[in-house]
Amino acid sequence: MKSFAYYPGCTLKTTGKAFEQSAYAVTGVLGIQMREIERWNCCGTVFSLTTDDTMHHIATVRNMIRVEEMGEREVLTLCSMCYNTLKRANEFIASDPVRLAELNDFMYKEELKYSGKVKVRHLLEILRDDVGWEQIRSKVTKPLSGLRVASYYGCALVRPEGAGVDNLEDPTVMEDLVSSLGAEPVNWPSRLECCGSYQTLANKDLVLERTEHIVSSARESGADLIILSCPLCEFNIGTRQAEVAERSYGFKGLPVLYFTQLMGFAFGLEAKELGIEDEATIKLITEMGAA
Amino acid sequence: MRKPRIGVFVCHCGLNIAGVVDVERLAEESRGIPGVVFSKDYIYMCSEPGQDMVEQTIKEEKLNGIVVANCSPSLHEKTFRNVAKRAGLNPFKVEVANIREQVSWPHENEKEQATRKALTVVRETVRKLTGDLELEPFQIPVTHAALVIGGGVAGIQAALDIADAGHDVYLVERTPTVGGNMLKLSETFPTLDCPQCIMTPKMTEAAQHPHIHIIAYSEVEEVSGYIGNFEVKIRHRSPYIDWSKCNGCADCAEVCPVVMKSEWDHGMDTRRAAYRPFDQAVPNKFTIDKQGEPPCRAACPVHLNAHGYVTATSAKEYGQALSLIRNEARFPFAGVAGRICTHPCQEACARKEVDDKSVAIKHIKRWLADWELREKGEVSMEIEIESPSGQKVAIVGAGPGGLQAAVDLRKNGHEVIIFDAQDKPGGMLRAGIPAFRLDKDVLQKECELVFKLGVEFKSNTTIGKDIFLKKLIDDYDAVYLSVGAYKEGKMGIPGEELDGVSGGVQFLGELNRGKTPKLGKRVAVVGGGNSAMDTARSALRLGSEVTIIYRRTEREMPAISDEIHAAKEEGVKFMLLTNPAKFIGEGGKLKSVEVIHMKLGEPDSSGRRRPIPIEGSEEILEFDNVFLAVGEKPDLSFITEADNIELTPWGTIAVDEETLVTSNPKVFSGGDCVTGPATFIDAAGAGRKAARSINLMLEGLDFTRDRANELSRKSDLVGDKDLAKPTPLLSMPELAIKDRITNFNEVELGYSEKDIVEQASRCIHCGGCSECRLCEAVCEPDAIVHSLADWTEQLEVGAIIVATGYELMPLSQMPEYGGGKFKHVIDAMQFERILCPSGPTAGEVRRPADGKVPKKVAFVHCAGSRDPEHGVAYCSRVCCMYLVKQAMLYKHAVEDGEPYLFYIDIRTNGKRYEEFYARTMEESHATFIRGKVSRLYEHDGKVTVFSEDTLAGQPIQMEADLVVVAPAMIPSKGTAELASKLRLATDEYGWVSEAHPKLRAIETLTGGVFVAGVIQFPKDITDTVCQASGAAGKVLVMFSRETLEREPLIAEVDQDICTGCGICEEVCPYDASVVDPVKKKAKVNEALCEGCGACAAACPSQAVKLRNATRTQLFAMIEEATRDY
Repeated sequence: MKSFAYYPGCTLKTTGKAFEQSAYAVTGVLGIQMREIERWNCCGTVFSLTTDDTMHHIATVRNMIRVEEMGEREVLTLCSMCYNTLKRANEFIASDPVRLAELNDFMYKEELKYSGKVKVRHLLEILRDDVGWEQIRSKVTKPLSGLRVASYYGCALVRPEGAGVDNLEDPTVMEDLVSSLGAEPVNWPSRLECCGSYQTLANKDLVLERTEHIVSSARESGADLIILSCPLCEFNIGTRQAEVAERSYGFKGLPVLYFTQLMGFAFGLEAKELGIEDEATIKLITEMGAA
Repeated sequence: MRKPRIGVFVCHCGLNIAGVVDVERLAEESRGIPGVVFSKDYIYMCSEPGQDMVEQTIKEEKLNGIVVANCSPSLHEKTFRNVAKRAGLNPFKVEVANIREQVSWPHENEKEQATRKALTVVRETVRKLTGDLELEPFQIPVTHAALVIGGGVAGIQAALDIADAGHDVYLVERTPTVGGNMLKLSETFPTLDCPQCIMTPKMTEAAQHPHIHIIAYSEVEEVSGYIGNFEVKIRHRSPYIDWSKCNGCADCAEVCPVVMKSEWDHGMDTRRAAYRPFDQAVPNKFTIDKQGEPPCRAACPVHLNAHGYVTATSAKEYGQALSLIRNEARFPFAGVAGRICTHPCQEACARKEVDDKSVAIKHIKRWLADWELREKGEVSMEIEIESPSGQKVAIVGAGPGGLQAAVDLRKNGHEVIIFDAQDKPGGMLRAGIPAFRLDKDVLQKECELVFKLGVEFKSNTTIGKDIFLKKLIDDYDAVYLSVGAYKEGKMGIPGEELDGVSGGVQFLGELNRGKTPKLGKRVAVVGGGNSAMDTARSALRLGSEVTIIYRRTEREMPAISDEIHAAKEEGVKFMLLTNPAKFIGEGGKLKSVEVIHMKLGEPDSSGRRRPIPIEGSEEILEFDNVFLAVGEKPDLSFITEADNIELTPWGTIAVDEETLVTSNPKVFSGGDCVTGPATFIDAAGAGRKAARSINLMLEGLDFTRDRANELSRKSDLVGDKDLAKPTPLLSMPELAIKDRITNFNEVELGYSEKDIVEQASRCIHCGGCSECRLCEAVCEPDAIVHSLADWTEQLEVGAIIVATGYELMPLSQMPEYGGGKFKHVIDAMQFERILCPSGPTAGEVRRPADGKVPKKVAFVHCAGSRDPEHGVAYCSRVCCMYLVKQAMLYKHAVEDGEPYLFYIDIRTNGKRYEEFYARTMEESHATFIRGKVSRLYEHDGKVTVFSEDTLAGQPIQMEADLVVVAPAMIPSKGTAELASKLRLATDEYGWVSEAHPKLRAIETLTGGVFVAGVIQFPKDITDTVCQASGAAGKVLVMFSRETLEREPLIAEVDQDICTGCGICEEVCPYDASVVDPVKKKAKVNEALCEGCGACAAACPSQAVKLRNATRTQLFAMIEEATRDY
């Protein structure tokens, strides 16, 4: 049983609950223990990354101290945005002894000083490097053959170079995961394009245009559904599909799932366990997947 | 020692020095320095009046040394040395005190300190000067011949210029023709000249020039020496054609069946293995391209040229193909191997990477043997036997091992005799393999080929009974034991002696001798190897019901899968995971067999999972006959103690792996009697290996050297999958099951001629030239020499020009543009070939992947250039112009075509370049979009171009039919290695460094080595040609004198003090200091030494000193400098 400290991030406790739920379910099958950090705080996402200075990164790196308090060396994240923020902020602070000292100084009230040695890992990275596709294949009880899956990386998972989990021009980690589950990965042009991110608050039209573009592109490339790794992307290109359909005649959407939910199906888990409620999606996967 | 009379001259350098340092005060106070008799300041000392003043002063004041306090010595030291010369003063009694770069510039705001520092500097310099000796520059001879490396337009131009001045030039070019990249272009900007038309006259002029020696298809291997005196070793790559005889007729290329990608056309077209890059190539000769030993040939234990005979077959040259097997490779068993060989060649075949199935090499070989028999009614083998050696060799065993050894030994002119216990030759081929797999007539005819060479065959002679090993060892010069392994292994279980239980191999032997043993209805065969399958299938044909009993599963069976499959098809039953426990008889005759079922456990020593009996699973089965085929052993009972032949613990003959010699130095052994049961081709390979040992031994040579890897070995070649023909593997036609099982006729029927030619064409030619030798037959001047090896040549030259040019950054390094995997995305050079009127499409613009005419072409600027993060930071200079040109030419070729150019900036800044760009916009209506292409995506025969129109502020997504990418120019492959051979510096991108980017861009910092063309940095043809003539000019300056003058400020070694420790040799970056191995003293090569001083600093005994910069002088300067502190 390999254990990791687990950093959920804000959204996974609210609108993204299904992501966390399904992640617990599948890591359980794979023998990975996710230990939620106590007293974790929001990573700050884009705010924390606005400027490269210690002040902006404190909130983020504070979580690392929590990880060390738990006696863990590595922290597992699910949300791409949180992963990106934690990884970059941690790298910025930990790579420079002066900054690290500065941060520890400021956090004098903490019992533990941050050693700088915590590693931030995304679950996809752990699946590829620590578990291995063979092991995942062996846990598949319902191979999803016949299901054509479009993997949506978005931005935060693969950019910038050095922080990403895979090659930023041609990543394959999600396609490899899809293959190991027995499904067919689809090659499509918009898999690395931005969903619009936080523009969803101030410039919804932009996001709706992106959603239409991205989802249509997946559909045109023959996908049956889209998988992703970020609750913000899920909100934009998933939940907002309804609004796109209202204003764009002829727009046909696609089911959008977290990659852990797809894994759960392949491992033979129940849709309820994976936080999936939409009947149509469940029907799609069970029927096509069983082909 | 004369009294010093030194003059100090302080320069104002306008305000550069005077604005900070109080120059008048400096001059005044300098007057007080011991040794100084005169001092003056002046506004521009380096000006004519300034120099004149210095000259006059030297004469008038009778100065014997001067210090000029001015700018860096790298600027004007030479100037003032010349002034001294003119004034009659030794030029090396001139020192520069740098009070500008070292004083006034860094200390701009500290005038007082600056002045004091300046004085210190002047004082130090005066001290140094007092220790200077009067030196004379020395002369080194210059060889008046030049080496130009690189035969592109730069190299050709430089060579012509030097040769026209009357000096010899060696022009070395790596590819088979001179011409370089320019020769491949379609039309050159801005004049739209045809480069082939303007270059070929220069190329022929160079070829015909009496002073130019073109050395094509060659590379510089080693360079030693120094300016004026270089020694260069050139390696000529073998074209396998004697160029002194080749007349460029192209007959060889016409018959050559091997198709390869054309480098000249950058993959846009194909060529043959025998080729000429370009019809007007200079030299106009053909070259044969060999890539190395292909995997099939390497894997074969006798190294038959499988690639060769497969290729010849694909060209319908069956006689030649068969000749490669029988005559070239001296392998008689074409028909036998074509039927029963285990084909390691096919396992290694690179065709498997294309469609999972290798080329049907074995079947092709069989077809050739059968063809000969059909056409001529007989089989043939022609090899040249050398004159009698007077030595004789005895071989025991007429199996494949003994027979192959006999051929190789007989070739060397030895007398060879083979003894065999059987009536007819063939060994296990005759006795162990049933006729339905190997026709005995074919076998007999091929064995007879061996005897036709003059090898004697003594049949029905059993060793240990009819003849004795001791006698053979005494009477013959060498003995080869190839007695095989056919003694059936026993299982060691009760009942084995019952009548009805016998060896499978024994049964097969009887059948092959023409007998028909009587079998009961139910027959069992124990074992999982080929012998077991053969036994089972034979018993089946005699009418019995046959069951194979094997203790593991089918996966672990050692038999060839085809055999197992055939046995199943024919109706043999398989009982797996089962083993006999005992044989039960009645009246001495077998009645039934008790078997026990097994399960698989952990792997045993063979690597296969161990069978473990399942308790209580015994079963009694009724069988009339049981044949054991569980592993044969050699019968070595004929070996006595006196023979001195050691055995291994497993009961086989012990031999040295590399030479096959036994513990008796006259006796060699190979095949099954050494390895245990193995394959036919392994035995043949061993026979060949042993024959090699014996041949060497009989010649009195050392047969133990360099013997590794003689049997099956690996090749790294993988071929080019793109050129593979899609033809699938055709299965061998076979007799229908019902027609098989009542007789012993051959099951495999052989292919038709049409099919065999198609099957042979599946080969992807990973070896390049297959050595099928079809070219040899048609070459009238007899120029083809397949055995021609590379050779070297030594040249002596005085100057070297490096003009090795560029290549384009490969698309594989650009994943955002498809990484080279998109079919409709090509690079600019490929598009040049398409546009070129003498190119693969004769100038018609068509997409290379499908031949369609593209109506919308996107041109991508700056792919890799101007990209410090993922590419190179520099701009490649010519791409804007050539893309604009390509757009214009595309429009000329496709009238309704739409070119779109995606650029960052348009850099068209040469003569008439801007006008050319304007024409392309106005006349060709090319659309220019200011936005770098971020990504390409190919689907459904179109390429989506993702970019941005930055002038309109809009993202763009466009569907193009073809995309042409302009990749960054990068140095030609091999530049780094060449630079290190020449001791040339290169920059961080690999471009050769010039001595000074503004003033000395043709020279390098290595004396005598110059640079021309793109290898210094990307530039267009105009600048390249100019730079080439410039380099030639520099060389001619060198050659304008008989000797070169070198500054004498170098290191020298005091031979009395030197202990020969070699530290100076180690630290010298110019290889100038060498310890004489006899005298054990170091000596400095005056021509190579650049006076850096590293040796002087490192020498532990202070034997080395730098002239006019000795320790004494330096310490004196330090003393001056630190006096006030």
